[in-house]
Amino acid sequence: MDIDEHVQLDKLAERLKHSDQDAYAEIFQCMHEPLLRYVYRIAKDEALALDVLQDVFMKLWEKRLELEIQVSLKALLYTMVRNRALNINRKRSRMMYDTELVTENSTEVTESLVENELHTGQLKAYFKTWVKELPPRRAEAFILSRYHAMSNREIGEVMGLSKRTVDTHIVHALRHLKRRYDQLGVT
Amino acid sequence: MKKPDTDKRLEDALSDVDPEEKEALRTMWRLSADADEVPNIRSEQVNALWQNLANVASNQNIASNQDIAGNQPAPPTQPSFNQDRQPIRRAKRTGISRIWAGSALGVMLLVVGIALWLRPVVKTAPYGEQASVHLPDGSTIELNSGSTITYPRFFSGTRSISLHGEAYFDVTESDVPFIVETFNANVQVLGTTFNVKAWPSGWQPESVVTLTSGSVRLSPSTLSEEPLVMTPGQTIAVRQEGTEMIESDAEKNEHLLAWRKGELVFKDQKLISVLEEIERRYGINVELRVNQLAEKGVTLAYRPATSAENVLENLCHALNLQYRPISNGYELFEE
Repeated sequence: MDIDEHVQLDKLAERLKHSDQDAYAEIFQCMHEPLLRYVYRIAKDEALALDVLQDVFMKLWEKRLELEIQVSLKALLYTMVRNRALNINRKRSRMMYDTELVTENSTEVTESLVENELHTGQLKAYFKTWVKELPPRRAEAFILSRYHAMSNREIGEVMGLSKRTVDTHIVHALRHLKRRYDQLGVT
Repeated sequence: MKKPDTDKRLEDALSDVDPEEKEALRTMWRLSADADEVPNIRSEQVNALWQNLANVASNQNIASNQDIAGNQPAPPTQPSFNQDRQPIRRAKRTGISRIWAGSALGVMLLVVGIALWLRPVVKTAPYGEQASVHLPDGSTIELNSGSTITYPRFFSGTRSISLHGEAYFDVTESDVPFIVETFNANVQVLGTTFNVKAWPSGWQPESVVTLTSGSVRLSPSTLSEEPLVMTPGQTIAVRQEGTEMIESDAEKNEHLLAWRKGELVFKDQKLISVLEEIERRYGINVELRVNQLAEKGVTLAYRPATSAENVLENLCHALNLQYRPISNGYELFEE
C-alpha cells in the first residue's frame, strides 16, 4: 500500500459516510488481509481473528454516519481492531501464556547455521524468530511499519505513542535484528 | 516496486542514526521483508464473513431508507451488533451441515490435541508477574517477569531447557546432564542451584550466570571459547565481545537474586537496564527521553518492591528528572 492507496482509502471513507455499500465492500477487500494478519499476532488464534474482524467491520457500518477520521481510515481500523483484540485477550485470562511460543529454540538455529549457506526461506524464519524476541510493544511498532506499510505517525496514533517513540522503537528493533544477524557469522 | 514510500518511512526513523549504522540497518530492513507471520485462514472463511457483513449492511440500508421515506428522521441507532450477529450465524448451520461441522470439529480438536501434546512445553511468566515451574525430574524453576522457558514434554538423554529472560534453577541431582540454553550460552549441570539472566534484546545483550551451590559448566555458544567451570558464589557474563567474570561477593549475589523475594534491588546498574527490568516487572512501558543518562549507574533497593510510580518518582528525584504518565506507562524527561 502506498500513498495513493492511502488517499484512495480516505476517499472510500467519504463514500461510506453516505452509506455507499460498494465503498464498504472495497474497504473490506483491501483491508481484510493485513488486518487479519495484525489481529492474529495479538490474538494468536485464527477463529478469534475472524471474529474481531467481523465485529470491527460491523461497527464500521453501524457508525458510518458519525465516522470521524483523525489521522486516516487505516489508522482508525487498526485502532479498532487493536482495542477489540486486546480486550478479548484480557478476558481470556492467563491460559494464553501457556501456549505462547516465544523462543523457538533460537540458540539451536544460530549454531547450525554458521557453516551452512543461507536460503532466503531459512533467513526469513530467523527474522521471524528474532522479531518475536523483541519486547512486545517494540515488536508491534516494527511489524506495523515493516509489514503493514504504516507511517510512523499512524503507528503512533494506533499504539498511543509519540511519533518519536515509534522512530526509536524501529531503530532499536533493527539494531536487534542486526545483532542477531551478525551472530550468524555470514558476511 | 513501491520503494519511495518504504524508504521514506525508514529514513524518517533513521534520521538520528549515524551514516555507517544507517546502511547496516537499511540492509536489515531489506532482509526482513516478508518475514511476517501469516494466519492460516482460508478464503472461504473470509468470504463467509463478508457475506454476513454484506447482509447486515444491505438490511440496515433498506431499513434506514424506509425510515427516511416514512418521514422519520433516520435514526443512526441500529439493533446492537451482538443481537444482530447471532441469528445470521445460526441460520447457516442447519441439518446435515451441522453434523458435518460437528465431526469436522471433532477431528480437528483431536489433531490439535495431538499436535499440542507433542509440542515442547512453553511456560511464560507474564509481564508484571513471576511464576514457578516444576519439571518432571523434580527440578524447580522460578521465572522472573516476562521470561519464558521451553522444554520437551519428555526428557530423553539430556534434560535440555531453553531460556529467554531470567530464571533461578534448583536442579535435582541425576546422572542425566541438565542443560540451560540461552541465546548465546549453554549452562550444563548435574545438580545444583543457580540463576541465569539472559535478555537477548536488552541494552546489553548478555547471559549472566550466578552460581549459588554445586558446580556448572558454562559454554558460550557463539564464541570459540573453552567452557568455564564455575564455583559457588561466582557470577559470569557472556557477551558478544567475550566472557567476563563479574566481581562478586555474597552481598552482590544477594542483589542479583533479590527478584526471587519480590524485591527490586539494583547496585550501580545502568539506568537503561534498570528501566528495562521495571518495564518487565510491572508490565508497563517506560520511555527514557534523556539519552545521555542511559548508561548512568543507579543504585536502589525496594524491599519489598513498591508501586512502579513510587519507584520512578524516587528515581527521577535522584536524577533530577521529571516523569509523566503515557499510554500504559511513564516517560522520563528533563525539565
